[in-house]
Amino acid sequence: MKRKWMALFLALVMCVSLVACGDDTQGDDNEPQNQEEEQKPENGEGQDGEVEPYEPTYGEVEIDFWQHMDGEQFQILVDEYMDLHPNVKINLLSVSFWDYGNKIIPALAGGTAPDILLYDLATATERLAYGQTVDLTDHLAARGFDPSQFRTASMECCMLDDQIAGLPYLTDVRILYYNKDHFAEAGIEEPPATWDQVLEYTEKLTTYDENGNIERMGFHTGLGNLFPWTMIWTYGGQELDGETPVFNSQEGIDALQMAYDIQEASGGYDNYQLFYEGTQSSTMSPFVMGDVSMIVDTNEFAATIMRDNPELNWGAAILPTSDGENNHWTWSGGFDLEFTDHGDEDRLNAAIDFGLWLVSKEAQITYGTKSANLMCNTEAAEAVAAERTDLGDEYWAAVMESYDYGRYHDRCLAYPDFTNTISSAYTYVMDGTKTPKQALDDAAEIVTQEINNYHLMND
Amino acid sequence: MRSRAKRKRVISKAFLYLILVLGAMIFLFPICWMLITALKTRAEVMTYPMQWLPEVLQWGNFARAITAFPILLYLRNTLFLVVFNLVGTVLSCTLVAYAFSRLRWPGRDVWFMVLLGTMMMPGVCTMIPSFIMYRNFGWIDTYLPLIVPSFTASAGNVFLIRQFFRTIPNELSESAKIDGASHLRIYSQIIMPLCSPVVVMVAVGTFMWTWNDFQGPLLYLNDNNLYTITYGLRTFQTQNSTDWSLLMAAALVISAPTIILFLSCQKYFIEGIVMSGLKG
Repeated sequence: MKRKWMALFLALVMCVSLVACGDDTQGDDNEPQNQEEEQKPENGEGQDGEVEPYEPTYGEVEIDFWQHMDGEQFQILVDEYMDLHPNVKINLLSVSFWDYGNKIIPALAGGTAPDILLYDLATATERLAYGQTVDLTDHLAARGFDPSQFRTASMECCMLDDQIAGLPYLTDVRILYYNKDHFAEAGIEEPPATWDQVLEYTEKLTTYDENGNIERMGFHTGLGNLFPWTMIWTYGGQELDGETPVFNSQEGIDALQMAYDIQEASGGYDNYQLFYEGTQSSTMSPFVMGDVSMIVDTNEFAATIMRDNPELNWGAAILPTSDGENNHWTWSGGFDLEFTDHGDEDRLNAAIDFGLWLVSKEAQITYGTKSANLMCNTEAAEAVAAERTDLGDEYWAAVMESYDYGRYHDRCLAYPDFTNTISSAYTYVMDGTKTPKQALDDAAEIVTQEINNYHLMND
Repeated sequence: MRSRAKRKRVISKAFLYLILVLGAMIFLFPICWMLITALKTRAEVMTYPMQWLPEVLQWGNFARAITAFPILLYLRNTLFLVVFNLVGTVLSCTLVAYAFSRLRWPGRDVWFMVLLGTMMMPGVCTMIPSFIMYRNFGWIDTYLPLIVPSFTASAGNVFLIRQFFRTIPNELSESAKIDGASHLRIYSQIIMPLCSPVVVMVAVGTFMWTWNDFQGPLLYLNDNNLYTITYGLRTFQTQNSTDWSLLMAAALVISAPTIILFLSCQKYFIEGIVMSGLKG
C-alpha cells in the first residue's frame, strides 16, 4: 500500500516537472538557435535565395508592445499608428525603467514576451544568439529596409555577424557640462579640450572651507556618468581585441593614472569620500546645486538641469581627450525594438511594420522633440536638435558632435560583464590599493580566466 | 536604604524608556518624513538646503494622489488577492502543521526537514522555472499564480504553527479520539479554537505580504485592470517621478491599512511569537 502511494506521488511529481519544463514553442530557452533556418521560409524566400518583396496580407490583428520609457509619448504614437492602420490593435504596456528587466527576462525565457519590445540595444545580439528574439535580416530585406538611415554605431550594435537583432530606437552620449560662473570666477574662458587641462582647471576650481574640507569640487571622474572605459577610449585605448583583453595597454594605464591625478588635485580620496557622502543627502545632482564645476553626464542630464535649477549658468562640450584632437569617443547606450515569434506570421509581420514606423523619421521626431532624447534615426536626431532650441546651441553642438563619436562596448558573449572588472580596477586605483598598471593587469587576468572558463564549460 | 533602591529602580527604568523612545523615534522617522514630504509643495521638496517643514500644509496632495490613478480598482484587486491568500495560507498551513505535529507517520521528521530545506532556496533561483511552469499552465495574466501557491503551505508558516501546536497538550486530542472524534474534528473543533494567536499572526503576515507584494504582480500581470495597489503605485511613481509630494501622499494612503492592521493585532502577533517559541 505504501509503495503504491509512493509510486503515485512520484508519478505526479514527474508529470508536474514535465509540464513545467516542456516548451512547445521555442525549444530549450537557453540554447542558441539557428534563427535563420526558422525564419527564412516565413519570409517568402525563393528557392534561389533571393528575398521576395513584402506585401502586407494580414487583416485584423492584435499585437502586444512593452516599453519602459515615456508611456504617454508611446501612447500618442500607438494611437496615431492605430488611426492610420485600423486593422491593427496594439496593446501597450509601460513598465517602470527599474523593473523592466525583472518583467522582460522571465517573459523572454518563458516565451510570453510581447510581439514587439523596447529593450537594451547593447545586449540585443545576446537575445538573438539565444533564440529569444527574431532575426530580422530577411524580413527587413523584403521590406527594402535602408540601414543607412540610422546612426552607424547603433546599427552595428544591433548586428550579430550578418543577422539583424533589432531596430535602433534611441541612444545617448556622454558630454562634459561646466559651470560658466565658476569658470569666470577662476578666470577660465574655454571648456577643457584635453585631460591635462581638466587636471589644471580642477586645481583652480576646487575650493576648501577653513577646516580644509572641500566646499566646491572642480571635477572628479567618479561623479556623474563618466566610466573608466570611456577615459581609456579617449586615450586611444580599447577594451578587447577579439576575446583578448587589451584595456591594460599603456593608454589604459595613462587614463587611470590621470583619473587618480585629478582626484589628488581635488583634495584626495578621503576628501572626495566625505564630499560624495554629502551629495547623497540630496535628490539633486551636485552639479545642479553648484557644488561641482565640471561633470560628465549623458545628454539627458540637460533636461534635469533645466528642471531642477533653470537659473544655473551652464555650458557643454565634447569629452576631452589625451591630445585634444583625436579620440573624442563617448560611451553610448540606448534602446532598440526587438521582436518575438509566437508562431503567428500575421502578428510578426504587423509588429515589424509597426516597429519600422516607430523608427521612421516622422515618428522619431514626434518622440524626440517632446523628450529631447537622442534618436537613432540620424535625420530625426538633427531635426530634434533644430527644434529644441531651449537647450542651447552649445549643448546641441556638443551632443551632435559626440553623436558621431558614440561607441558601444566590445562584444564578448563568453564574458559579457567584463566591464565590471574594469570598474573594479578603477576603484582599486582611486582608493590607492593598486597602481593603474597592477589594477589593469590583474583585471585582464580575471577577464582571460573568465573567458577560458566559459569555453571550458561550453565548447 | 529602601529609598536608594527605589531611586536606582526609577533611574534604570527611565534609562530603559529613554532607549526605547530613541529606538521608536528612529523607526518613526521615515514615516514622519513621508508625512512631511506629502504635505509640502514640489518646490519645498526640492529646496536646498533642505526645508524641514512646509510653510502651508498641502492637504490637497492627498486628494490629488488618490485621483491620479485608479486607486479603487487596484484596492479591489488587492483585497481579492488578500482574501484568497488568507484563506489558502491559513487552511493549508494549519492542516500541514497538524500532520507534522499531531499525527505519527513514518519519515515525518525527515519530510519536515525537507520542508524546512525549501526555505533555504532563494526566490530568485525559482523565479524563471516557476514562470515557465505557470506559462505552461496558461496562467500568465491571471491571478492564479498569485493565489494557488498560498494553498500549498509555505514552510515558514508551517514551522510557526507546528511549534504552536506542540504547546497544546496531547491529552486533549487523545481524549477526543477516545470519544470517537476524527482527525478533522479534532483539528477543527479542538486545536484550531486554541491557536488563535498563531493564526492571527500568520494571517497578519500574509495580509502584509500580499498587500506589499510587488514582484508577483510585476511578473504575472500585464493587464492594467488587474494591477494591485503596490504595482499601481509603482506605475504612478514612473509617471510622476519628479513629484515627490504626490508620491509620498499616495504611499502613505497605501501603507495605512497595513499599519492600522498591525497596530490593532499587535497583541496577537506578539503572543503568537512567544507561544511558538520564536522569542529569544
